[in-house]
Parts: sequence; C-alpha cells; structure tokens
Amino acid sequence: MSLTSEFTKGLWKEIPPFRLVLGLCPTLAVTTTVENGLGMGAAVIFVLTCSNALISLVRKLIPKEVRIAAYIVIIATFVVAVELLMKAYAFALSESLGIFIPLIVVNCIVLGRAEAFAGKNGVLLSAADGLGMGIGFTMSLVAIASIREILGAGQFFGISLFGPDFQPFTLMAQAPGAFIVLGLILALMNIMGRPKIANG
Amino acid sequence: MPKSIQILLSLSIICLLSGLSLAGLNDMTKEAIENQILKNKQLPALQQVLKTIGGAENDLLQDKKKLDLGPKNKLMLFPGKKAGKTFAFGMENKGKGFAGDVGVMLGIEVDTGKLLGIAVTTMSETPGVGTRTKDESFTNQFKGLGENTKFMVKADGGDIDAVSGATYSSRAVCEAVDKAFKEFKTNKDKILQTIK
Repeated sequence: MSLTSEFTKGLWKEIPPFRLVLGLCPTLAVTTTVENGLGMGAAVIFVLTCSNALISLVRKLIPKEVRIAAYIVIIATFVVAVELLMKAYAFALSESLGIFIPLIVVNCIVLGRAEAFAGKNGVLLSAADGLGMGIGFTMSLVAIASIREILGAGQFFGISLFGPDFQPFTLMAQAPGAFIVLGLILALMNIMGRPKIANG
Repeated sequence: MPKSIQILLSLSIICLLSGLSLAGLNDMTKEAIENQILKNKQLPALQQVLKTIGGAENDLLQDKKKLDLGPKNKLMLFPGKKAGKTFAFGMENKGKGFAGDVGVMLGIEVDTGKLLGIAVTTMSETPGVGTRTKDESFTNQFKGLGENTKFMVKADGGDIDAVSGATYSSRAVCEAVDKAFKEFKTNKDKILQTIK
C-alpha cells in the first residue's frame, strides 16, 4: 500500500466508470462535449480529493453509527463550495452542467471511496486515492465525450473538425448514443483483462 | 461519554462547521455571482426588449442605476439611451412559478409609459412546458401594452393569452409584469428622474 499505488489504481486498474462501474449517471449525462466532461471531471477531482482527505482526518472522531450521515454532510459542503465557485468564475460551464453539479453529492464514487477507503486509511493515502479516482473519472469522461462530440457534432472542444458538408451521427449526441459508447468501452476493457478489485 | 452524546456532539459540530464555512464562502462569492448573472442573463434580456426600437447606444450594464425605495427595496433600473437621451429603461421583477421564481425583464418606453417588450431572465420551470413562456410567441403579446392592461391570464379574467398547458408559468410571468408596472406607477417620478 504505497502512495503511488493508491494513486495509480484509479487511473486504470480500478478506474471508476469502467472497472468499478460507479458514477454512471454523470458519465452518461455530461459527456455530450469534451468541455462539459472536463468541467465535471475537474469538479469531481476537487470534491473527491478534499472529502477523502477531510473524512480521513476526522475518521476517529465520527461514531460509526452515523458515519454515512457525517460523510454526506462533508461531501455536500465541498459540492456546494464547487457550485458557488463555478457560478462565480465559470458561469457558462455551470449553466451547461446544470443540475449535475449538485448531483455530485450522490455520485456513488464519492461516497463509495469515503466509506471504502477514507474511513479506514490515513490522510495522505486517502487524498491520493481520491485524486487518482478523480483523474481516472475525468479521463473516462473525456474518452466518451470525445467519441460523442466528434461523431455527434463533428467538433472537438467546440472546434469544428470537418467541413460544412459533414453529416453528424446525431444518435451519438443523445442518450442512446451515450449508453452505446459506454457499453462498447466496458466490453473492450473486459476483453483486455479480467478486472481485479482489491478490497478496501 | 455515553454514545448518544458522542453522536449528538459530532454531528452537531460537523453541521455547524459546514454551515459556517459555506455561509462565509457564499458571502465571498456573492458579488462575483451577481455580476455573472447581470452579464449572462439580464444583459441579453435587456438587449432583446430594446430590440424593437433598434436597440440602445449606451453600455446598458455600466449605466445601470439603483433607486432606493425603502429598506430591502432597491430597484435596479437600466436606462437605454440614443443620442445621449434616455428613451427607454429596463426593470426586472419576479413572479411565483411552478418551480420557483420566474424573473422577467420589462422594457418601458419613457415617452409613452408603454411596454416595449418583455424577456424572461431566470426560471426553473418544466423544460418544454413552462419554459415555452420564454418564447417570442408568448412574450410578443406584451409589446405595446400599458398600465390599462389587466396583466393576468384570460382564465383569471385578464388580457393575456397563456401558453396552453403552462398556466402556472404564464401566471408567473403576468405576476412579474404586473408587480413591475405597479411599482413603476407608484414611483413614476422618482424612476424617470433617476434614469435621465
């Protein structure tokens, strides 16, 4: 259990949406453009790292009967902080992500890592775990969003890639497209090796 | 320490710290958020309502004026000028919609006291239903109306055609326009003086 291994596991071996199959709701909803995916990813990195670190810091002071309630309050505090900061300094992004920013509170990755890791491990390790999972989540969002934006709108990060004659594969920009891309990537990752998920 | 006291203390402290820090952060970001809303919601609405007379020549946000109408009642006015003279102004009000407040920006012509038009600034109404009150097909009917209009939906005895299936949202827009007009009537002199 080293700092590096706790950090890197979230980047591939235990990448949240594809291996742990957690956090699928925002994965499907905000991956219409790469910009949205990056924005959501950045917000989740912040919340995950901070909440993991703080929960780990106070884990011995929280009675285990109410730990979930306490974790949720801590997570919600960071999520509201992100929401306020986004509205103040990245208004357009907060408008396009809309209700999915407050929904980070119930994102299974955040509570899942708090319960499975931060509640039982030291602060630095928990922060590394949160950071790794957050970055892995962001990479997954960008991967799906790239496919959906390039095929569904002919753009990458808002920049048009093809000429005006490009007929976009509009299914990709809508909900079914999200499910299809997610399913294909999941299948691909399963072919590449059985997922080994360590406990705790 | 008995378990119940431990639980009580730890939860109370966590919630207290959370509340305090968020209140502090809220205070710190309040102005920045207000400016963002001004730039991204109220400015486009202003530009839309003044479109009918070819738009204004001044910086609508920079020239905004605050009129003090009493404690907790500061009215924000947006004068629109052409050739240095104020020909219209924008003022905002809100009505209770289906899912929260609906903010409406009114454009009022100075010479006639009539509406140049309205535009919705903020709303959380049902997408595809209540949000249709943002469309020009609904807001266009407000052009040219004045203080003699009954700003209520026809179902309530007023003069406004509601969006079918979106009565609550239509009512909210009417309420906002009605409140704004009443405020204009009550404080006409002060308002006209402030926006010169």
